[in-house]
Amino acid sequence: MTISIGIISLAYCAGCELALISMKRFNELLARGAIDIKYSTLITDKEELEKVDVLFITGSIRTFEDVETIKKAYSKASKIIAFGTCSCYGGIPGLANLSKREDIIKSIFNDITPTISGLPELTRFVIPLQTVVKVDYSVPGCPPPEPLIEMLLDSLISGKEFTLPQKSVCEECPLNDGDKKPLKELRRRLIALNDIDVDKCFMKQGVLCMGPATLAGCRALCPSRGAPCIGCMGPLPSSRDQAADIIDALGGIFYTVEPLEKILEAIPDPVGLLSMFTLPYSTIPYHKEVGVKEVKRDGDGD
Amino acid sequence: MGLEPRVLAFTCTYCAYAAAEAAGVSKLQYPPHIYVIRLPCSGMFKSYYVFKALREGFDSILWSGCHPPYDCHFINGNYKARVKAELLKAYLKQLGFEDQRFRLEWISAGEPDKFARIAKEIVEEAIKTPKIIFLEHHEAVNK
Repeated sequence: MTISIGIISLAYCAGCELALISMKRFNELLARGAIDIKYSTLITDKEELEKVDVLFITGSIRTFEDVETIKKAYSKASKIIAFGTCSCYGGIPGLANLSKREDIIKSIFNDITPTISGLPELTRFVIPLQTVVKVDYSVPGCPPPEPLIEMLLDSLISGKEFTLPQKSVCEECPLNDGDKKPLKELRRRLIALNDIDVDKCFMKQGVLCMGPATLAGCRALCPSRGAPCIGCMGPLPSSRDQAADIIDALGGIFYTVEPLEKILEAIPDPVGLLSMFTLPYSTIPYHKEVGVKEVKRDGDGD
Repeated sequence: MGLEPRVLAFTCTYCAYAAAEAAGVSKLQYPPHIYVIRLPCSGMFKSYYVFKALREGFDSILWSGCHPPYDCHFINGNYKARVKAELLKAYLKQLGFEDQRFRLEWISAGEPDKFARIAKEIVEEAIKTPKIIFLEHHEAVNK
């Protein structure tokens, strides 16, 4: 039996697609004829998406063209997979939710209105696919880690359910020694990374690591290779706000830091660092000026 | 209609909630716009509550716990709340929300007058700030 797959791409960098098609397991299945790529913007030369069994959607919704693409593709697949953090949680393009779309265009075109007609218009803010379209499976990661893609391919071929892990990166991390003492120091990540021991927990050396609030599945890829976790796998399935989770974790770990300003000095860009990949998916998904309507009160509280 | 300010107050059982109750018992006046929620300790106030409350239409949020350093029933809960609140304030500020939408105060069980004063202040400020309504995700495609 051959499973036909299609890969469509919205606002993305082609990394997820590349991670999928460069995987050993995927190529084995392709060579055996178990999988057939019917449509992909990166590697096939087809104009239109035909009917497929499984549709991988990578990237978040940023323009009205993306909206149209989704509308056309949605009915053509029996299974839809949100592939990669961008389509699951908004990803790096989601940080554009900190600015209004007029300001984004202004900063790129520098006050000159683009004269080419037919450019797709930007949506009001970046939307993660999951929040507007019903997806069968979501596979986060930037790009999705190999063990997770393998699990997904196995489940597609055998017909079993695919489930995400239910634990955090710290539980998989080889640097985690289970010691839960409060810590006295938090430093700016870039400065601290010059003089740390890569064989010890990053948090213990005062470096912000997103491990406690990030979904496992990558087998602690970054921490075990000398870089702190930046949270690309998004929040745990039980939660929606990665930032809220990491703030709670930091409160529990660094409550003995004196003075308090040191914590803020170490995290100069809270939104960019604490919800780098998940801003459009979180409870407050945008800057107040982007998507909040303000209603003036009379003043007498009536 | 629906424009009355709503303020959510998270209080810890041992100090701030006791103060709120004492304020009621001693007939101190404070505005009815404040909704008091009782939780075991300020150290377990979740940051998610603040985001959720703002999203659901509350105008401002008050976190209140026991005075540092020694009042906390669980030894260091208020220290944890302090760190969380500081980070939350910075986070909300970067997202463009006014400072008065989130406030952390220490109120001990013997200070019902302080609770009443802060409740009055926070509701007055909430009346001055506009009510906020969040757009849903599917509304982003409306032009």
